[in-house]
Amino acid sequence: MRRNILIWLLAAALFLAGCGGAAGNRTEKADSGEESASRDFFAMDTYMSVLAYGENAGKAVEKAVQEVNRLDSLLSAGDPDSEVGMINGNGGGVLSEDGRVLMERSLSLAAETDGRFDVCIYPLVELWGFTGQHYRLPGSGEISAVLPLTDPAGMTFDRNTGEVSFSKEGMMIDFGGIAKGYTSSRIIDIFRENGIGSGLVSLGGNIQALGRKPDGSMWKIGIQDPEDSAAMIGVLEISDKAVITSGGYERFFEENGNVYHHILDPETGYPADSGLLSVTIVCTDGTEADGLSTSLFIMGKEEALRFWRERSETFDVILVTDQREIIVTEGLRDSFSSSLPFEIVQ
Amino acid sequence: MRKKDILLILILLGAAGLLWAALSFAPKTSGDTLYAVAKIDGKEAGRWLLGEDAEADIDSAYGHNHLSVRGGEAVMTEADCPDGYCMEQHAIGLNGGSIICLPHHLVIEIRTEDGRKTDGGVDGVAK
Repeated sequence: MRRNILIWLLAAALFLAGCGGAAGNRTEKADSGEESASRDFFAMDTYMSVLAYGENAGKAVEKAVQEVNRLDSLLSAGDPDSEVGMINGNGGGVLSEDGRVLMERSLSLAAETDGRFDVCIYPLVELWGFTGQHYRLPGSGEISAVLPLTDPAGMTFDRNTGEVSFSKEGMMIDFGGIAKGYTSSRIIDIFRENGIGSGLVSLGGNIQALGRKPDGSMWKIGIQDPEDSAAMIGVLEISDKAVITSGGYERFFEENGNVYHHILDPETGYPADSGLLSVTIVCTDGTEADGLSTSLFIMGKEEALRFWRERSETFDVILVTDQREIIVTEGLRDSFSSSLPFEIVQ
Repeated sequence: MRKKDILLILILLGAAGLLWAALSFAPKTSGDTLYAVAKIDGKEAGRWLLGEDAEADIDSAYGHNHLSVRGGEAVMTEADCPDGYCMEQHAIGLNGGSIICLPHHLVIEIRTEDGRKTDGGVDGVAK
């Protein structure tokens, strides 16, 4: 009798051991045994994923989501109640601390890129219908009428008070060109403040990594093929870097057999036609990476490479041209791999 | 307690330990059962075995989508969203990836039974 009980008890223990093994090691623990937490959610008109490894992973991810939502409601140009929406609606106003940082960064990017980065381009984006889904091909007269509104010289900004005012009616600001990069950098800061040493953020394909993976290996980031959304042109191995790609394929419409994409050249008022299909910036600073990806797309291959050579210490770049050339800068020699032919430039 | 009892206990404990070890350390990358998993606002709204053909309506307060799973691939075949972009996205299958319908806050992803994403061997895709 006693032996029977013993056998049943041990059989139960055996069963439980089996169950424990099958159900354990799911999402809470990484293969290294470290705690992990992740969240996928919609914000800033895109799909976002945040992932953190470490003791406070759950708390850090929760704070990251809150920060994204806070910045979204502050910066969304499409929301008339956001800080940016109110400034645009009222023809001026006062920026909060985040807004001031973003405006300073926008103006320094504009100076650096010879005006390719334009914080005042919103009236033009609206004219083309890229702010919503109501795309339309504007007439050349409409474009020439709107272009003067997109010149940041017509805006005054007081760094100390945060006050923004416009010299022309109809001028508007939009931080969309750097908002996601700024947000991913903020998330990485929050991860660090919470003692997280390893994490990955993807804000609609804008990637930023903190540290390495828990097993010590680098993060593997695919670079989308601009001509085939299901394919990649190569893989980058990174740690502590942002990887941000801009391409005409992200948002576009077709009319009369022509394709019109969303990266507008502030000089012409038309979609940039620079011979590039995509530009990927690799940089420690997400805000810089975001701003430079669109600016270099507008510049085209030769000017983009010249621009990089003057600043090769601060960032690297991968260009895909409409001739299907893949051009990779020297700093990525050891971290980029591809089954397609590519050229490394110095 | 007799010697045989102790032996039995040891054998059973040993077997339990072996079973636990086998289940814990078995490679999980090979032979995973893959699903197309639909999530609306991050909450699972349905899952379909990638290996079995299926037709599924995914309805929510945001609107209607229809997912077709055929020959190991999932593709959005109907949607009443304003842009219809989800229907232009490529089918997703063994190599992972996702179909996103932004207006309907809907994501279709390829995941393993225990919820891991399979994304063509990479941790993320810059796009």
